[in-house]
Amino acid sequence: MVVPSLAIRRVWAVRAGRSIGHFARRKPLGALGALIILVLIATSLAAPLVATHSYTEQSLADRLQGPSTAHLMGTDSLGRDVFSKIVYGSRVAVVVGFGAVLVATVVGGAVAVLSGFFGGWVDKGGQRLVDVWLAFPGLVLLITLMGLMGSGVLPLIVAIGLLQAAGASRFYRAGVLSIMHSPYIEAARSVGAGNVRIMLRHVLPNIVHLMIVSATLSLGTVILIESSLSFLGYGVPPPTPSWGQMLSGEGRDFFQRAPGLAIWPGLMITLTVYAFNVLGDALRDLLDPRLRGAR
Amino acid sequence: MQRYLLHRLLLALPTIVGLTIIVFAVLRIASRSDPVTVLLGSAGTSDPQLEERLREDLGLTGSIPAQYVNWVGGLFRGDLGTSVITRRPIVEELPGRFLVSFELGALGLLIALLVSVPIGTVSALHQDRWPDYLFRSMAILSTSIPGFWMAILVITFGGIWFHWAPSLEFTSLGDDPMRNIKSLLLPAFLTALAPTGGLVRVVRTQMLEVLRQDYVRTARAKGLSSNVVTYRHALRNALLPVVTVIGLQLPALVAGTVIFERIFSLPGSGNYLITAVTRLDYPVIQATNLMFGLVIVASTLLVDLSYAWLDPRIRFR
Repeated sequence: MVVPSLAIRRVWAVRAGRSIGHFARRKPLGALGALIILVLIATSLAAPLVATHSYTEQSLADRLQGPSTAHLMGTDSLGRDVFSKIVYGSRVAVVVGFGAVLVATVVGGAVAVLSGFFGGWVDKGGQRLVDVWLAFPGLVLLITLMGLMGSGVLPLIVAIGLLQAAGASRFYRAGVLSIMHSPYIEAARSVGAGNVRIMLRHVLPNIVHLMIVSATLSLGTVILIESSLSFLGYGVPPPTPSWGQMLSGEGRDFFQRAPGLAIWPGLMITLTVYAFNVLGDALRDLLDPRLRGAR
Repeated sequence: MQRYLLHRLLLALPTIVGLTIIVFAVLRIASRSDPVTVLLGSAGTSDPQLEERLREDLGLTGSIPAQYVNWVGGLFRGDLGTSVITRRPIVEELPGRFLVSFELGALGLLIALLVSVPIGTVSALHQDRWPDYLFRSMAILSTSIPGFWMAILVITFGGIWFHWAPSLEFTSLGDDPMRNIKSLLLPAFLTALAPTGGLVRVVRTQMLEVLRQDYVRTARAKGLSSNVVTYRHALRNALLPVVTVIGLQLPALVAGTVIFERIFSLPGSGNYLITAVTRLDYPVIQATNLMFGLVIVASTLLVDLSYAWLDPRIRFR
């Protein structure tokens, strides 16, 4: 393995630093979103270090307290530390969010590339299937699926991911179609490149920017869907805390006595979704100016 | 126009067939355990005769293809099955519940349009000045806030500050239209929240696009007042694509109705579905899912057709 010399590495660092600085200057709001997301990911990874208590630790003597130095966001109806529940709750948001978007991108990308590349009946058939898939109001199908499958992180990821895949594939397919007639595809074919090679080496890299933009934007949507499902009782089963679930169930009976219980989880969901939305918008403006404001 | 209409109608057919297959398949693939065993277990019996009858009521007798043919055959005869919990035919229960959801959704969409069109227009007319920044940030924010959280905040702080609580009674449209609309107003405003943000952005972009067109410049140049140019020339043309976007907002609208029916205990089809899912009431789950799918298919069709009708380029083809 060739180890890059120190000088080269320094050049890379400077370049990366410059482009980050460039991004922050051109898209301050997007940079803010990126910062919030980084903090969120770091928090979810280091949850045991950040949290001040265990999220299952009950203390009925300390129930429904307001914010204090011991309990930064107060305590819930069983005396559990709300701040620690929020911190651990970020794990569900991050894992389900990135997991579902990964599923959506891979499945949607595969359908789009095959559909756009082969055209003809493959495209027609595939797109009819996508039509049907898009005809379902997402939440209704998810409630049915989760209700029958039983709650859990993996079912959530698969179900939400497959649902998002339909919309994503439409978006990518348009990208694939627009490059299928490019000279470089023809050139690759004329030098004898096979279908698989063209798809992987020539088509896919040219829609990666679409994937990055749509993945970022759909992360916000996915986290919103996850929190809605958790709120309705179809999310991650307790005692694992998730933000949506903290706003539902018996907890709601205590909101008037301790309004903090109603405020914090919702604020976290809003902040997270907002961060992904503004970052996605900024990325779209920079990576694909043609789509500006098209959403 | 007629050919276009026929073409679109024909295209909807395979979608509807696909819809029935997916609804049917999802119910049989997703369930982890046999619903008959679960239902009997919770009732505390294992009477084989009862088991046989329950299996039949749930539509789970015979081979998988036979079950499907049985179900679809029933649909053609206007028979959606019978709820195993309430023991009433679904055809009797669903329409009333659908009406509540439809009202909520339609009211929500109306509010969203009434708010987003003026705001989007003002935003575009003041591009990159403070009203534009304000409205744009609000639009992004409104798509980021979970609607159910807004509802919880309204209920919580309404209770703390004004000792107000949402009414648990529901008056149907037929009994007292005024009270019915009143009880739906708050949920409808909350339902409108998410679609409004998306619509504001589209109206704004379309307005900006149209304002740059030659005919707008011509209209200005010939001395028409700016109001006439804005509303007659620009807004009319900008709203055309907005019709398409309404179609894209439908799933969000439906999701909203499901959530707010739950929070405000409205007897709509979303609540019907959730209750059915918890009780493994298969015929009801199937029927409501199909209904929601058909609603989306029908509204997408309607959006496409109205777009064609509004756009002379398609109308006179």
